[in-house]
Amino acid sequence: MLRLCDPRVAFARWCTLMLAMLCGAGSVQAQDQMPNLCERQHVDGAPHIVMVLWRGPTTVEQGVQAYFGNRDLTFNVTCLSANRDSSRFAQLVEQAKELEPDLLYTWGTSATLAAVGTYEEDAAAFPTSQTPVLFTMVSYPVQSKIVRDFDGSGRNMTGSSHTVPLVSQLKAMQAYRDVTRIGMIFNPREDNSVLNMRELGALTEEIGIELVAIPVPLKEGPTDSPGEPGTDVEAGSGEEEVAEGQPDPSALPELIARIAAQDVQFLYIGPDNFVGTNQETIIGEALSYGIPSFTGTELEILDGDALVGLVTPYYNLGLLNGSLIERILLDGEAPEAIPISTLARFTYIVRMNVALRIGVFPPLDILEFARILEGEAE
Amino acid sequence: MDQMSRRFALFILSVAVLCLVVSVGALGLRSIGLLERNVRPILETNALVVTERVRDRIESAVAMGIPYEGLAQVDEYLDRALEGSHGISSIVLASPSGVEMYASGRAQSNQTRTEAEASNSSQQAEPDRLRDRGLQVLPASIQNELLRWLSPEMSATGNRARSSTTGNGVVTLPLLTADGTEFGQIVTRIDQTFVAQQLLDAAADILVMVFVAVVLAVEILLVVMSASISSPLAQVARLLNAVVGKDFRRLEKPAGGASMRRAIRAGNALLEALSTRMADLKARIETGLADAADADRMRTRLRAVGAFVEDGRNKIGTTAHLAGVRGAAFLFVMTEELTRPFLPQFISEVLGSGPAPGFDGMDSTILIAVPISTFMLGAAVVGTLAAGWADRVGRRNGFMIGAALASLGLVITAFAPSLAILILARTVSGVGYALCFLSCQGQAIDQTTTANRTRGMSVFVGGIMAADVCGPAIGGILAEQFGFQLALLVAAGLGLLSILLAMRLLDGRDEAAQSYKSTHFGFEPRIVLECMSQPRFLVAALLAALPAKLLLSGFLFFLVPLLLTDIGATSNEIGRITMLYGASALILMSLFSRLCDRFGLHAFMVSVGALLTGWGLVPLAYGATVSAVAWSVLVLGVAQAMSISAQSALFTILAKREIGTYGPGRVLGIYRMTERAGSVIGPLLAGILSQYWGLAGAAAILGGLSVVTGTGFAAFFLVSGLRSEDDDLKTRGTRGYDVETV
Repeated sequence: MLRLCDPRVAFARWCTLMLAMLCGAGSVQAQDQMPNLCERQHVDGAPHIVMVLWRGPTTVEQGVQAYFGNRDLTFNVTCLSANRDSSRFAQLVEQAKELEPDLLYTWGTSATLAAVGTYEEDAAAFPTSQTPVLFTMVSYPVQSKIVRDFDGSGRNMTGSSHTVPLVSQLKAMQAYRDVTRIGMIFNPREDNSVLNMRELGALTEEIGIELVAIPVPLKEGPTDSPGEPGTDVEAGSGEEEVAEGQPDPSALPELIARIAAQDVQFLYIGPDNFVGTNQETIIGEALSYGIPSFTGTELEILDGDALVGLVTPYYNLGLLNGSLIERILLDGEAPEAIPISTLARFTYIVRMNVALRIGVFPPLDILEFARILEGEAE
Repeated sequence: MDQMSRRFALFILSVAVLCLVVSVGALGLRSIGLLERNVRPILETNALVVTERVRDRIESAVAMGIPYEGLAQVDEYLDRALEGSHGISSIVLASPSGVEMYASGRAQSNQTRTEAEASNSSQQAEPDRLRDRGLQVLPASIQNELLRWLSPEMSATGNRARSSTTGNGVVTLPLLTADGTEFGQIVTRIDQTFVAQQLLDAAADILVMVFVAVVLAVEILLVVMSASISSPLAQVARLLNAVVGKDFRRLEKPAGGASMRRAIRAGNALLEALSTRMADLKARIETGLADAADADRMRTRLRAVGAFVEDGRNKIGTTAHLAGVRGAAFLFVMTEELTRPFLPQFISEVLGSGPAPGFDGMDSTILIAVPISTFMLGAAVVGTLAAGWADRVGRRNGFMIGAALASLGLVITAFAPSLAILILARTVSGVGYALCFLSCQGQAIDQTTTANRTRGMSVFVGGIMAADVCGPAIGGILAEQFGFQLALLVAAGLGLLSILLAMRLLDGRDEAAQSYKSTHFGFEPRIVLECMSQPRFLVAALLAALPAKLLLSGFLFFLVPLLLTDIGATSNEIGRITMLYGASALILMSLFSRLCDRFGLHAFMVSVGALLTGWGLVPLAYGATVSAVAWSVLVLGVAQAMSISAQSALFTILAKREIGTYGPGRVLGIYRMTERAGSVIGPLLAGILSQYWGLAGAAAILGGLSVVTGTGFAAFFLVSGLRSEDDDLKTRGTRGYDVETV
């Protein structure tokens, strides 16, 4: 049932969100001292949230926890992690169903699709009609057919996206150095990655930049593909046996060598789970040719060696998610009416140790506003 | 005596103007000194802040490990740092030994100049030198006194205390690593021309304001002096002159100060007593003396005593005088001139950003032109058709109705909620303006005889021209300080003030007392046809009279304010620039008309004026800056002073036969009519042109139009020539018959 929200409460919530975002990175440090959201003791009577996560709690969930702390809200949270194995999502969703939570929280496109399916199929594994779903870290919710548009899902769910518009990403690259050619590696089996590549191709063509986009070759074998259209297919880590028909990580060094031969100014790291999983190899190989990487997601620059990133801070996204949870579970707002949220402010990040290693220094103007990472990647 | 009172007035005026010029000039110089004293430290501090900011950025980049020589996009960074700060000419990053490594754009392109600047920087700044050179003509002791007063921080020429961080307009800071090792230096140079430019601008403003103050003071003095001193003095003189000339018929109306009134009353009483006794005497002669021969003798002797009224009742003369006309003309023209610098901008504000209801599909620039044109239209129609009516209601009444209408129009304009109301209000103001004009012109002619009419008219025109100078400058200041609406209300207030003045200074008598009838100016199609069928008259009307006014209203009243606002000028500056037109007319008009009359240069002056106007505007096609527009306005003023004074004389020559038949008023009325048509068309045409070519483009095209018509006019008269039999007319100066400013 829809309950109208008290404007004073809404204002207080908004203030908390803004203040917390302003405090930003400082709070991240503070949250490190507190017990993890997933490990907290459950309290009787508090609403129960089940989180289906790709690789355990991330900075996003730290943001959620911080929001709860700031607003003094108590929720019981159960975390179910796929440990970077997408084949486990179906099982995790089943587990979640059994727990009968008050809200299901899904992290990433694959987890979300495993739980709610596309709107076309309308065959959700999770009983969405009874329990609301909040998705996050879905780069292309519309293209992935999770929602029809950003105005509202029309189903008993809502969510948030971390994607920085590609135009802004291109401008961020151009601000760092003159760009005439950009290299890109993508997994042809991932819909969001292919979509991203096409959009980037159209944009670069418009402004006269050449995009050298190379798909990762698939392991040869029988053609019966396990992946359905519209479903992300993710590879395991590089050391594991690669299934037939899946992208082959062993081909990466050769792909990077081909891109390096094209004299690109940046290697673009898109929202691609395969590339994300193999980022160390990809970015490291590129650096050996003196090619810096640019990323639109926080992970590759905080945890990897990308030189430049224009990202939505995961922590801030977590704060946003916290406020969405409050609106759904405490204010009783109908999730289908809540628009899919994005953040309007992005952070420009430069990894200085990489800049110094390859001698591609940031312009003075960028030093005025960028967040500079000076140490080695974690 | 008249001569004496004029000399007396001239003396008072000269003394007043001298005092004003000296005091305002000294104040101006002092304010320049203060400005300079305040601007320099601000510039130095600013340069230091900018330098420190750049230094911090470079040092932090180097601290991150980026090598100094490997910094990226430094020149662009320096350019941007320079862009946001006034008064810095260059920022240079150098090695510790001083070898330049990075520089802002201007520093790179002007390397030699900055070097020269650095070596010269110990010299005095330009304005100091100019001023000091001026002071050198004075004795040393006075020099020092003056200098101390002008710039209190200077005890002697050039001894300026310099900031220790900013030696000679150059800020130099070392670039240090965290451990204090110098790895380079940053050198910022203060733009010396920036200070000079600021001071020159201030000086120009002060000069303009001195000029406006003097003109305004002269106008006020003229009216006040005339009403309280010279006019009563002239009355006393007339009284005495009459007595000396044995004319005892006329009394003077007491005017002026108390003692002056007493003197006039005493004179009047004396004359009245004389008249009564003379009438008595006459009656006694007619009735008491039977002897016809005696009576005849006595009558002859009485006539020899002087001229007396028949019935013993003296007629009292009027106090109305030319100065009154001048004051009234000054005030009512002022009401309009005040609005010149901001009216187009005000109209565009009333229009707002959305489309005006009822005017769908029209470009907003054209819509701005409409109210300006309807003012001209109202003035043109009434000026052409209502002359007879204005005569019938009398000078004072006509003026008061006109001024009331003009003020009403201005008040409505100030509160106009829509374009339609604004158009109506402007039309009402135009009608009022024309009525005031007709009344003043009528009285100026009433007050003069054919012999001194030209001078009389020049007194009237003087008031108008003074308003042309003061109005825009003061209006600009008012608009800048208090907003458009209040400036409009002040203008309306001036209109009401002019009504009060008219009650005191204008002739309140009815039609019978008027020596001159405007019906002579009546509009008659038959005469229009007759004149226009004459090729010379037609060419002069269409290629000279019409374009001249078209340019005036289209460019000066419409394009200039909009263009300058577009460039970013304040109402203040717009007022001062618009004023240049009136100032050049005020200074040059009489000179040109004298030259024109003496050498018979009418057609020549008209052509040169038109061509000059044109070529003054055409350069705006290459980009309009504030100074470019100011030059165009100045050239327009000079050129129109040249052509306008020649035009009416030219028409009297061209239409000699028609003037002989119908009188000068009606024939010259046709010339005025074409002028008014030009005034109406001007803003509309400029609005349409600017829709396609922008404001500056429209101004340039108007200039081109003037070049074309001027060339056509010159070619036509070079081929056809003026009629030789009219030579005698060339110097007669019939200009005085009518004038027009709208």
